[in-house]
Amino acid sequence: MTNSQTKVLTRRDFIRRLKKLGISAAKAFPLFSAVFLLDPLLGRRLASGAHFGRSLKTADFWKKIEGTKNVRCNLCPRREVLKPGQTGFCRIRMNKNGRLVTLGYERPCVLNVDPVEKNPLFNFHPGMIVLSVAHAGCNLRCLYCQNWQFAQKSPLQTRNIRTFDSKNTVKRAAAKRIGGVSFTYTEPVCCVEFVSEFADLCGEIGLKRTLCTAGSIEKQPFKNLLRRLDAVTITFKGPDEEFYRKITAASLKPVLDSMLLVKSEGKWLEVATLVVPTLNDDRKSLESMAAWIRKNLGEKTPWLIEKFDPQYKLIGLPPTPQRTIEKARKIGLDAGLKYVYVSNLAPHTGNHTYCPACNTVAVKRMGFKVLEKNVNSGVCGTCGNKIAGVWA
Amino acid sequence: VTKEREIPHSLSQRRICLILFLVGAFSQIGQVLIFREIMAVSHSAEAFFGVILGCGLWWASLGAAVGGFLFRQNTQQSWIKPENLLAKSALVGGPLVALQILLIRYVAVWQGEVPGQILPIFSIIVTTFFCTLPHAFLSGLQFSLAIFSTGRKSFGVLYQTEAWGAVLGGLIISLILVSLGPPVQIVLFCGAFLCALTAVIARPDGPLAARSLLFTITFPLLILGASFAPVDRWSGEILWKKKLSGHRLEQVKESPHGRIAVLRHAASGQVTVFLSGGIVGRIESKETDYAWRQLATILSCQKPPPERALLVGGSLGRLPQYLLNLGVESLSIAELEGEFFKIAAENGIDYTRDERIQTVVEDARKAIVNIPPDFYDLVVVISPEPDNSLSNRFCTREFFKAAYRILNQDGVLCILLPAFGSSPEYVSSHLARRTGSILWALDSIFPDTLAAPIFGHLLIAGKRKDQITLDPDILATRFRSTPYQRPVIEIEKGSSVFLSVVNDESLPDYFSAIFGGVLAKGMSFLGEGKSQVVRENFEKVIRDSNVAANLDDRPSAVFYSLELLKSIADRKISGPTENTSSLMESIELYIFFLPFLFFLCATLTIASFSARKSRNRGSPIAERCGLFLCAFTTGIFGMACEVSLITLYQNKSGYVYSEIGILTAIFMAGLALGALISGYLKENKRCIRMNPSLFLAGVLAAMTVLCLNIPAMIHKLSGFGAGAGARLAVGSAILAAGFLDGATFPLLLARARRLGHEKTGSFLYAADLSGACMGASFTGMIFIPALGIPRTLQFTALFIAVTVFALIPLRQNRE
Repeated sequence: MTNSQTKVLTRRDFIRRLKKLGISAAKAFPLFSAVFLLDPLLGRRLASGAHFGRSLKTADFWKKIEGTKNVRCNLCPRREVLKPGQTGFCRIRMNKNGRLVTLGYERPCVLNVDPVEKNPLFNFHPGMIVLSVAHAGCNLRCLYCQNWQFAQKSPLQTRNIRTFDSKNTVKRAAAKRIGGVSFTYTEPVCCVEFVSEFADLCGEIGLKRTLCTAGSIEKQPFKNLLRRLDAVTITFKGPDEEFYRKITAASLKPVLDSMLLVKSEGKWLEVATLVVPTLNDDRKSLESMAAWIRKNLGEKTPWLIEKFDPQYKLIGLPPTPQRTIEKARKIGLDAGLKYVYVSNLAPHTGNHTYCPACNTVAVKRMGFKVLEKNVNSGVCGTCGNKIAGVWA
Repeated sequence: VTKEREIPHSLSQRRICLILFLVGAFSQIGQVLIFREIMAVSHSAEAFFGVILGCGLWWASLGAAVGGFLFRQNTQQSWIKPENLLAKSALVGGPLVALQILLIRYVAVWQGEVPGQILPIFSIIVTTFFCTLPHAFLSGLQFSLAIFSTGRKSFGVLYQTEAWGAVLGGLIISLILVSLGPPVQIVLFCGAFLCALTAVIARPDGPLAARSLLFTITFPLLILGASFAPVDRWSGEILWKKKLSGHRLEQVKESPHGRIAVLRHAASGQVTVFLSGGIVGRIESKETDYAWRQLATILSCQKPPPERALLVGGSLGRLPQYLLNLGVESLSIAELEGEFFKIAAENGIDYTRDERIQTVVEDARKAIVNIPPDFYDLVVVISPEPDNSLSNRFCTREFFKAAYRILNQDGVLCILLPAFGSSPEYVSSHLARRTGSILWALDSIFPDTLAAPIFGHLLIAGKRKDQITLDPDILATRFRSTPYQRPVIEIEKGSSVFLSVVNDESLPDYFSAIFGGVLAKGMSFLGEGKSQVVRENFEKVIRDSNVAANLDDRPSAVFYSLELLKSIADRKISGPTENTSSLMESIELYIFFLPFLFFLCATLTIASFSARKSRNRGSPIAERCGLFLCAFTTGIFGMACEVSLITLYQNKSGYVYSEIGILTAIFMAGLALGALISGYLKENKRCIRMNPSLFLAGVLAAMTVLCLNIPAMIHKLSGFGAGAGARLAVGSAILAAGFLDGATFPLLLARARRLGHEKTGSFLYAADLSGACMGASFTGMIFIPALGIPRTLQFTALFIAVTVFALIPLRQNRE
């Protein structure tokens, strides 16, 4: 080619260049993805250096998989198989060299003195002061988690109570004349070993033991745990499997089974539902939940309706309108349930316990605070009708 | 050796410049509309301003580079002639941006699996990255096409032309189009206009119309027709149906501050108002907003009871009404968006009917400057999440200082911060740091402060010590002494509801029971005695967070808030997990400095490599690298200055995003002027013509000086009144930054040509845009929140100073 010649861009040249560009872009793609691959890999290396502090307790309800160092966790319906170093969905149970350990044992991050209504339990020793105990971790991923700051974390990531010791805590509870202990806020069943042992200690000195759970647990571990408890609240989050799958990353069936189990074991049960706009606030959903409770758990089972406020990942939803909460309560009452409460909207007419026979106020409340009681050993002070529940 | 030959172009340079001018104007309009659209789906988090700008610039630089690669040689084939492609590409601009806007809307809906779910920051960035692609890429490509259409020597002219076009576009969108109405329709209308003008310009001797006269007439008409279809309304209805089922979309309005959507819950009548995708208020159908009433009661029990109050935000709720019921005699409500008052009036809260209420439609930060000292007893700020400097301005020490001035000697300031529904019993470190930085700022101004997990997080500050309280017993005692209506408890009796008034003895119980009992005094399990365990623990954790106070120039709350949002929005829900977080979380901030460190090292390596070469035996690779590094740095400088100045301006003078087009226009005008003057000097001043590297070094030095002096300059000039001084200061600083940025380009090109790198024009442009992309995205999202504005500018200055070394390879003087 000489100087005088002009190199002209032909159609073929142009297409060839386009092809070259395409090939270069395709080559760049693996490089790009390598950055994303590198991130978790390096993250894993960092994980191996995690410091656990005190020695870890071996968990209950698991099985080693023959010929490997993998273990299967049998605590919740996920029945996860964990490789060495992996932590379960709950962020509490971990495979440490072929042994399943619990990271939450004796590592609570909340120890609070609350009224039992905050558990929430409304027909179980109303006004009783309980010690609320909670540790990090949960086997659900509710998009509206009310305790996301510690429920969606591992016990290794939270500020735990450093001085905690089960025996001393129970002694102190007795000294402070606390009526009971409540395992609440997060998912206590994920740390079944700690809850069982602590509940046993409390039982020895006559403290009442209550539990608030989502009920996503296998039958055997739950049965074991129930033996040590006096009352249970189960959150009935939504009407169907789809709701549970999409909103909580769990399944409905085990929750229903857990509610039936509590009933069959003769423990006091209350059911709580958070009414979330657009997700479970339609009449059909609320009616189906109320009907299920009425049919399977009985009309005397309290149903606690809770108001949603924009929280955690659902900050794009408005709060539940008061009218919707009142509609939900009416649906419950119309379904035949005798005790339907409005739990976290105060003061509200749905905070009180009414005698189903004479419709007078048996327990007058403002939010969680009991103002007046008109019940004597479970009997209405006005008409003498027996009010369902466990009373002092 | 291939030598170029001038090939006669089918369009004259003047016409190409005209088309590029129109393209520049339309690009600016499209960019602002896309920016607003992304802001609407990312809840207006301003940190994304830099990301959006950065992504747009990245694609534009890629477009320019691809254009440079594809059209390195001249062509005589009409179908790939750059000028023809430029004219044709200008025709599709309108529909392309319209489709992009619709794409952004639907991608956001698809990503949110559940109604109301917060989008992870990563998803927003990915959405932004891909959704800015088509038009930004086209803009970059169009510039390259224009270069190749006119010959490379006209680069400077084209650069200026496009910049002036962008100036015009910025002014049109900011002053006229932004509040006119629906974006899709506007962009189609502008697209039709662009299409028609391009057709007219290209028609006489261009093949565009000659081949298909019918097409050039019908296509603009078709776009114009489409612009009258209510596409926005339809897409809005579909969007909200998916986002919030059970609600009816009542109205959508474009305002200078974002997109307002009003939705009504079909069953309960509750009205929810969204601004740019985030909830800003709700109005219940009945006057049963307990929480507001309880808050008003607490505020009315501060001593002495407030009579004159200022409410910042909160018009879309019943707090004003309850404050008036509890003794406030004069209440001013300041809202940035006047439309909120209209919406409130339409839904039963008409502020114009009450003589005690004054509505102020202005940025409260601006309005507060003109209020006389010691005027108010109470100032209440209902703050959205301070994840951007717009909302953060009401949580900084400077604002607290201004509030302190307008409060009388017993005055009380109250701030409500969102807490994402977190439980009061445990405060995560993220949330503690966010609120802690604000509490520290408050502590530095007010002698007495309190914090409580009420309404999210409530912070109260008193001008006099021991006047403010959240103790239920003291609140009850103070409330007892007032004549106002006592709270009531509703009790059912059959189908009727009776009201039982809380008597004076039960008032401590009332204050202990409200807000989930967080104010209650109870037994401390770990300590001794009775205290407000939950509230005091909460306050202790917040105070112990050990963070820097939140300032205007160092908005640490923004950084912690973004950190918090990331921790919430992270979508890790499946399968067994590892114990610690990912590498990104472990390395945190330092990773963001790595690219800059890399470029600094590259600059110094090239400089040291070239310094050893003799003056006449330069290394072509080092020269190219030097050129690209300079272009890259000027890009970083331009955007770092622009973003920093916009943030500073907003801090000083109020809401800025309605003026964003004007600010960009000033920058572009500076760019064009800089290019013009430096081009003139280069042609007419022998010393510059002979040694442009030295002049370039001078420009870089001027950039460094400007970076180091911007904060002081703005602070000084802002002293001349609230608005004018700040406007003048920021306007002149943006113009200066644009001028210096623009001045480098002709010099770099001249240098490149002199060194024999004639074909690097579009690649230099791409390097400049890449730098701008990096500067925009890092400055807004990381550096300003983490380092503060002065340090960000100091870091930029350091970067520019090091780049002077990149001029070493360019010192050769071979022709």
